[in-house]
Amino acid sequence: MPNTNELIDQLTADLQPRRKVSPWAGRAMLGVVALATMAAVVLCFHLRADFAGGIPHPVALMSELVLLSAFCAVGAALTAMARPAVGAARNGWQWAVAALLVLPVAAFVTAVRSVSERALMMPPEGPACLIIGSLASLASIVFLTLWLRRGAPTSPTRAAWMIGVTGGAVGAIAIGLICPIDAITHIGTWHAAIVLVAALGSRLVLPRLLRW
Amino acid sequence: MKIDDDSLRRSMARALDGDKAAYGFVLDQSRCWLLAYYRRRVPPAMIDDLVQETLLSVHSKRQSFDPTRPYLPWLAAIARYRWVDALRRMRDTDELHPEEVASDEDDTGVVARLSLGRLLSQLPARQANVIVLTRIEGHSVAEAARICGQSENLVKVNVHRGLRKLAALVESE
Repeated sequence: MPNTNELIDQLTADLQPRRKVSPWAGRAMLGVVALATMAAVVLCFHLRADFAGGIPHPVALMSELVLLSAFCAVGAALTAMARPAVGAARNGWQWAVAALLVLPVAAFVTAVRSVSERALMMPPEGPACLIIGSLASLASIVFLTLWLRRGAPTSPTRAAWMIGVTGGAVGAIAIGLICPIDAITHIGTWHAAIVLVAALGSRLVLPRLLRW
Repeated sequence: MKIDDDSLRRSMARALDGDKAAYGFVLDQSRCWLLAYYRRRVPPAMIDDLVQETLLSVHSKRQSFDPTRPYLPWLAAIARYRWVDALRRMRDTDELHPEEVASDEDDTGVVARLSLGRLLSQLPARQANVIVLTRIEGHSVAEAARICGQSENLVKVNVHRGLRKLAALVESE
């Protein structure tokens, strides 16, 4: 390495104007990617009849809103991670992720007391939702990874988890728009599993791509 | 010399638009701040390399600076990231290079040890002891094993685990 004075001279000579990373621009682009993903899934598989008719089933609607709130909270915190700063606590997203546990917990409680509801936790419907939802989460995951690489996330592991949760939430919301099953046992198991799979996959693959 | 955050923030904002003089000022001031920062955290032989690595990171990630916010917390976040990275590299190094530890004539290693004390106190004693012996005081693995009564393999394992935990502690702060 050159000495530090030489390095500073080199870096100064290399300086070019650079477009700043804007979390708000990142959020807007993430929103577009998420909407495009949902539109593509709906176009391929058709919107649920109750959603199309404007009278959604309460369980399906509540599940979509829980996933949406997690998507917004984690996505906002994630895009803020592109701009590091010591002392900037951004822990609100953890509560939104904790709220996601409502879905599997409700599924478990319902399954314990109802045999017919428990049956909906089993294949064949579930794996299709998991596969389609996981594929639908990929676009957001790829976008967020590329976008965050422009910034300076100082905790690549945490960023990878958050990318997975955000992308998984998009996939789960998208699948909720087309899946005809209203049972919380199905939604809390297979739709929630999309978030888990996306988070685990991102945790395994993404940290090395996010290091700088 | 006192470093004025507001003038750094304004200079960095101009640097993002391509002002080289302002950028030179920012890097020069950053170097002073980083020297003080790392002097309290790492053995002396690592300081220059870490300062240079951090300046390179500042350069490559300058677009992540928000000109409406103070400069030093941003620099501190990047410095901490490079410090964690250095801890991970130390963890992955099996044997210590003698030139990487504090010498008797230089008290920087002592300062580094004192500043790390709070973090080391959060590790199990068996891990903290061998990190201090091998990474700060400069003993070989064999010497550390003899001093603290652990086998050489156990010393290596405890250094590895302790540094991994240390990096996680710094990252989570």
